[in-house]
Amino acid sequence: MLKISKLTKSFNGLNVLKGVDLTLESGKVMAVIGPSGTGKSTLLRCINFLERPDSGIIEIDGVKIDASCAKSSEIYRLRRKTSMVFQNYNLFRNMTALENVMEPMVTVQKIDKASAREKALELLGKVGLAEKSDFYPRKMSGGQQQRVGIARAVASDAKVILFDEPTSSLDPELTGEVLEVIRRLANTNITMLIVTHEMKFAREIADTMIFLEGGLVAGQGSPSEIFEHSGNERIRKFVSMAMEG
Amino acid sequence: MLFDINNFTGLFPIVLSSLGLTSEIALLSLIGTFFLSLIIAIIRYYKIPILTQFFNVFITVFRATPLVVELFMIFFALPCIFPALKAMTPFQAVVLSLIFNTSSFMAESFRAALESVDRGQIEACYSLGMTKRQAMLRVILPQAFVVAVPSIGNHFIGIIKGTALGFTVGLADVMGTAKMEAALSLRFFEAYLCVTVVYLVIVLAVEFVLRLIERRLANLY
Ligand SMILES: Nc1ncnc2c1ncn2[C@@H]1O[C@H](COP(=O)(O)OP(=O)(O)OP(=O)(O)O)[C@@H](O)[C@H]1O
Ligand SMILES: [Mg+2]
Repeated sequence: MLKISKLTKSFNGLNVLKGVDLTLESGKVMAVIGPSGTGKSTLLRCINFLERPDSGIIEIDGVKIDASCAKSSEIYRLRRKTSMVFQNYNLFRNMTALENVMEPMVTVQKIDKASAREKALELLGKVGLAEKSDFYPRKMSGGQQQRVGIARAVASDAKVILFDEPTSSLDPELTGEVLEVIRRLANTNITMLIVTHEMKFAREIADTMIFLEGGLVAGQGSPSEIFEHSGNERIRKFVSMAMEG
Repeated sequence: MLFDINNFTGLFPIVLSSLGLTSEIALLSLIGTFFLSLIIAIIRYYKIPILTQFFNVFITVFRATPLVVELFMIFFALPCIFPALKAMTPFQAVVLSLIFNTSSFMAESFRAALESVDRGQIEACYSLGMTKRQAMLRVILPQAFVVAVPSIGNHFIGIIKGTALGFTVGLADVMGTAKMEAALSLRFFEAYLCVTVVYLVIVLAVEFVLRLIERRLANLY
């Protein structure tokens, strides 16, 4: 489903990603953990070309793209295979919750408005916001906005949904509702890549985990391999610190 | 008699008969300014090469020179060098100079309004597979427009007042008509007081409508 090889990215001489390889099968959930500043966000942003990688191959659902010579038509095709849930929600402020969720269907997939509306209402229902469908983002709490953001990401016909710390801008009492929505999504057949600092949550929903450090995948395995049986001392340290803190 | 009330009241029907011309200049200039400013702002927003530099010079020139000088350049000076411009009417010259002059200011407000839409929302567009154009039309412009409305309103008032320069190239607009009447009757005070009242009423009425629109837009999203 998602295959990345030798992905590199640098910002004015600072090598952030130094050759990341990963593979994620259809319907699986992968959690990405690692210390701050190791390139987790950059990795996600490179996967849908919000940042242009320097080199490497990205392949999603049959669309294969070589970053060093990607054409813009290829980039658009690749972007339609992914969608992103942002730390700051990034809802369209000129649209209601419903319109936000309809937008990828109407503008990108060209689905007719009536069906898009129906599907969007159904998705809003699934994230528990049916009664907020006519609210503008500024009238919603962070948790509600993020749930709309998730519904919008699902509404695109993306094969992989990328989450970049979806709860880290939220007040602690609001993280639960968002995690619950992601948990339910994880139980459906959606493929997800999640960057998170919520270790308990990551452990619970992930099928596989990668530990990113210094721009490389420093460890990879099932949650129990990462959390309990890692041979890598830095991973053990990071995990135990994160679990406490 | 210091103030001839009959002359004064009698002037209104005459002066107001040219209100149509003044409104036509103002509205055409507003529409032209809106589109030219938008185009310049988008070009500068995306930093499109060559065109950006061209409009930077354009803006510098039209901001730094008085409207009446621009009008005289367009109507009297340039046709001497480019004979093709001789066909230009005074009406066209006034509208063009108002558009160029006002756009050199409004383009900058528009660009600031475009830039007020945060990067995150634009990234959300791209991450969903939207093109640059779709992001502009669906997300950036609707929000930028609301931000720009007060400044559009202020520039519109500037345009309305700027139309009074039409008389310098022989247009019988509100100002031109009053000036002619004054010259005939030698009653300057009545004539220019009449113009003052007409412009004051128009501008106050436009301002009132603008405040209503602004209030509506403030609660839009
Ligand atoms: N647009 C950019 N320009 C320059 N440097 C950048 C840019 N984006 C990220 N970086 C740098 O790249 C490195 C990795 O950043 P990134 O945001 O990917 O880390 P992260 O693992 O997501 O960290 P965190 O856990 O704090 O979110 C950092 O040193 C950061 O300063
Ligand atoms: Mg990050």
